[in-house]
Amino acid sequence: MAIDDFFVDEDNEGLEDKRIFEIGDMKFIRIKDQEPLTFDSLKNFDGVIIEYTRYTFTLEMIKNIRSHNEEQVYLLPLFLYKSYGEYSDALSEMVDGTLERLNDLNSIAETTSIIKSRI
Amino acid sequence: MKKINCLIVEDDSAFQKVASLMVEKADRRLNPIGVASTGKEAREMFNRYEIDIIFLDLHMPDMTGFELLDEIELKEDTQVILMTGDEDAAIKAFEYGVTDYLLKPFSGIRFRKAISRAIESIKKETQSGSTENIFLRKALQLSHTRNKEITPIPSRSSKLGYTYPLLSINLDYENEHTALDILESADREGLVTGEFVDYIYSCNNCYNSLLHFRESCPKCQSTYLEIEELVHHFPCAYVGPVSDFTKEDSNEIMECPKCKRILKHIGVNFDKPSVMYSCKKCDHEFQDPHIKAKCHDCGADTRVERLVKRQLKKYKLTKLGRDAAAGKYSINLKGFDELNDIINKDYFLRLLKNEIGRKKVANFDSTVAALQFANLIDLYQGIGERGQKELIIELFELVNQELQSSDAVIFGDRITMLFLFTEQEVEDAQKMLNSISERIIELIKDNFDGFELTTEEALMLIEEQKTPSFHLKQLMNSFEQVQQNG
Repeated sequence: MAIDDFFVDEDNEGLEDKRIFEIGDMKFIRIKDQEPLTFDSLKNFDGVIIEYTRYTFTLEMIKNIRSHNEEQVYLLPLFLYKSYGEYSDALSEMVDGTLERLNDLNSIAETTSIIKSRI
Repeated sequence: MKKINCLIVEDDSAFQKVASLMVEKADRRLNPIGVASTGKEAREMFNRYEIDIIFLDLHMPDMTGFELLDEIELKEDTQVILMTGDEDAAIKAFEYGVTDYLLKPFSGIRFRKAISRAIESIKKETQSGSTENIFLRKALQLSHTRNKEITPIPSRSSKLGYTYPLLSINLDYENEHTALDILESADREGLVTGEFVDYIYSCNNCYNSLLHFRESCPKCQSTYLEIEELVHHFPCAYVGPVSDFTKEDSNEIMECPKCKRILKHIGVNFDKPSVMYSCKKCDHEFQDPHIKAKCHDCGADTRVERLVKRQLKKYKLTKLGRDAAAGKYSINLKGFDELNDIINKDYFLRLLKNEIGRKKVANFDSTVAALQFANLIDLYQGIGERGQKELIIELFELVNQELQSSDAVIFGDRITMLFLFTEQEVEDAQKMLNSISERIIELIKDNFDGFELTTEEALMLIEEQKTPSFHLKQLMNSFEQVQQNG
């Protein structure tokens, strides 16, 4: 039995498998840091939530997005998600925010809106 | 900057020669690919080679220059310089977007101006598309849209020990150090303003900053050292290593080997002013060890004085930087690939070819020479890639100041300088070469702890019936013979 089975993650209850989040007129996609991805497909979203599992995987995923040659991909607002724990400074500085809960995404919507107004 | 491939399209054989000669003399970056006498030949050559500049005559036997331009697919940065006796074609020429329009007969100055304009346009195209410019633009865009400074963050997985998250993310581990070059260059160009954060020391060979520091023997460079404290006994003024004072039977009691008195308390009748190093490899004893830094990436073991010391800054976008981020200003960083124009054997061969051509029609002697610095490699190993680059540029500038304007110098490789002494016999060229050689030896000695540079010279008169490569080969062979005999 895994340790997680003893706890109920109330903040994210019912959202475990949710992939697309809509806040107002913005659409965010949640991806896992090891997920095989077609980066072009990210262009359809206003921002990306990367689910952190390991430093190297997350770093690789951020690198792939930020070093993409198309502006619509490399300028995308990126957010890191894990339910508990700290991130390294370097990793936090590469993204536009971090979150521990998926049931309140207003703060990332606000950040995304500011970034988009400056692009 | 890369070589600029040129194609001359001209049906008049006399003008073909004049144009070829002018192209070769105009700029060292120009690389004449060939001469086409007809439109068909020009089309074939254009499709076969990556042509950057076309010198185009309007009237050819099989088609006009405009018809040729209709038939070939010009790249965005291909420059066309029209050469014609027809004044009326000017308007049409500019409708075709040609770079310049030369009305025959034209002067050498006018020709060189046209070439400069074409090179400048190519430079803008290639530089704005270079990776450094692209990476900087991305970093500026991220910084601007996030309203964030470009700040270094300590990172043990980064080559420099620091990373610039908005910029370094585009660079692989091997090239992370170029982030500093890009940002310094952006600062010079007025795109950002930097504020000091820290100094970093990095390997002068690979720029890695994760280094292992330790003392080494100044004589044999070994790091296998023993360190012993020095003791100064006040009453008799004897100074020696602590082992001179300790007795075999009791380590705790110290007795002066000179006056035989027992040492009491430190600070009362003795002190320990320094330490003594002894090399376990060569037995050399010394007080001032060399401090060396071993790079755990490339294995280079360098004296700390020769590490690359660089300032780490955080950068804020200027108005120009914000405009560049918004795409209103084209980024054009300078200062990359500076050695391409200095180490260029092909350019020297072209100069030599011109000189041989000149000698065929006039009666004078010219000399070609080479100066090789046989042990410069040893020095290079100590100063790393960045130091090498700076030294080569400095030597090149020094020698250029010494030469007459009609003479030429270029590096054939990193240890060999090639000289062309126009209209000078070997004896005169020899004097000049000796003086240059002495200046260089002096400069190296003064700047690199008395390093004794060894030089070898080779000179020969230019022979009009021989090829440029033959001359170069002869010079290089003479160095090989010296080395074999030595």
